[in-house]
Amino acid sequence: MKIIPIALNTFRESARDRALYNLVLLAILLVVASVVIGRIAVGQETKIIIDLGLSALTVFGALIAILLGIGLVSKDIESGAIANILSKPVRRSEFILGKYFGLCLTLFMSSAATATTIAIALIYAEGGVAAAQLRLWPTAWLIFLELAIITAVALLFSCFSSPALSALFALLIFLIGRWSPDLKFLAETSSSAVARAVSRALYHLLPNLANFNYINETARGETAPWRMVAGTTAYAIFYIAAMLAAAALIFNRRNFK
Amino acid sequence: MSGTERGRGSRIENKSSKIFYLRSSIFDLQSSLIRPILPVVFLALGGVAQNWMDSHRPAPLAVEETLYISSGESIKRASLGFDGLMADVYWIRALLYFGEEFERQRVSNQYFDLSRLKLLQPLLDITVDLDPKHVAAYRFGAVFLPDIDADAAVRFVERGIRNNSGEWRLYQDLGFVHWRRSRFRDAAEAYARGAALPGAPAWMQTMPALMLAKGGERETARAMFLRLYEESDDPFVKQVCEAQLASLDHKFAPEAPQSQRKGKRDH
Repeated sequence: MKIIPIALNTFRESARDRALYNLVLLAILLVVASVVIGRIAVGQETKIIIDLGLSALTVFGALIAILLGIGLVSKDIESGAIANILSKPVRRSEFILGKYFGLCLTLFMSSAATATTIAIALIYAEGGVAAAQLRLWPTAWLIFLELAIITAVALLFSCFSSPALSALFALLIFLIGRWSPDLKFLAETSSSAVARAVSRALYHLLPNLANFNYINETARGETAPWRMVAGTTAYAIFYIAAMLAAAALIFNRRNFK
Repeated sequence: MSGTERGRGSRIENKSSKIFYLRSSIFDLQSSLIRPILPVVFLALGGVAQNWMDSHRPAPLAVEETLYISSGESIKRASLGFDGLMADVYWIRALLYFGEEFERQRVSNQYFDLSRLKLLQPLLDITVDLDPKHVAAYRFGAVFLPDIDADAAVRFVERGIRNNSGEWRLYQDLGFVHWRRSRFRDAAEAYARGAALPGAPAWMQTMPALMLAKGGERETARAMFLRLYEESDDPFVKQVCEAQLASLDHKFAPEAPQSQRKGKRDH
């Protein structure tokens, strides 16, 4: 099993990336700023810290996933390191999985750092530790899953496209994925049969990232129900598996000579 | 070239290289001292320039706040699911708009005229379009919108109740809006509905009767206070009921002798 060494190496590589530190730092700065902004919004301090903090976690996390995800495979191809790696007893699918889990580990660490900052900001705003602050963590987990899906999509594009195009495609998938309830609405209400069929196909083909958005409810004081968290986790695992299988398939057929 | 000349030439070369070395080390020393100071110096100069510009720039003309996008639904679609965050943005904007208008009118020594806050309602509408459960926005609207458009204020709070049916405070606010318009029966109804919700404080139960009494419906109000007095275990509610019964008896029976009224109350 060569996945773990490749994953750890990818983690070390991405942890050295300056873009990662800049984005995590920006997210943390936004969380700190939310404490100040919350003071302006009378009586809504906690809501604003959660809204702004978790939104920053999502947006900056997505940027990290896209910026680092597109370079996962293409960097090794461009530098020629891929030939060196594949000359060793490493299967191509193992290489893809190792790269993916390495970046996921990076994303997990950066998300945990941002979520911890939000928790500290909440403790400061609420004047102490409260059980209600625990509601943050299931939502942060859902956001991490959303980022893991975006990483898988970016990795898939990275296997057959240039970094710039991969970034564009991954960003578009992120945007459309966030609008997927509208796709469903279109599939249900459009007068054209073709538009209905296309919308329905796209709705099932593209990731439904709206599933992972529980920020509003958390800000209102609700905790994500465990059934919903479990269902969404299962959906994320299946979708990521599909993306990685497709990536491995494409990568297996590529000729690096 | 003779040997003496060669010797002199090399001495000169030696001397000039020493001078060059000395010069360059002085320059290095200067650079290492100056370089870290330069950003601070330029920042300070920038600060001086900024202060000069601030003191010479004419005061900006008062610009009327503009609402570029008036549809909450459009903002919701464009917000990529971050509608809660956008609701916070519009909520803060509404508060800042209110505060700025208040300050502007205060500075110009005017009586604070809420009816001039034309953007308050659209800003609050967008806030609750984006987050229909934003109770703070509904409550803010209940207090200040009646001065701008009372009917719109009632509709706004009723919308809040539809979206947050378990929130007794919104019924209290609706009762307050009706009370301000002297619609005591509607106010009594709103308070009664709110009082029936879990978590509603005991004093809410006394409000319907108070509103009816205020509206001149003495008999209904009296009956409600009496029933509440008998049913409630809350000492505060009992105390309020007693006082209100006494007040009703006093207010509506001026012709009855004092002793007779006292006897009635005791009974």
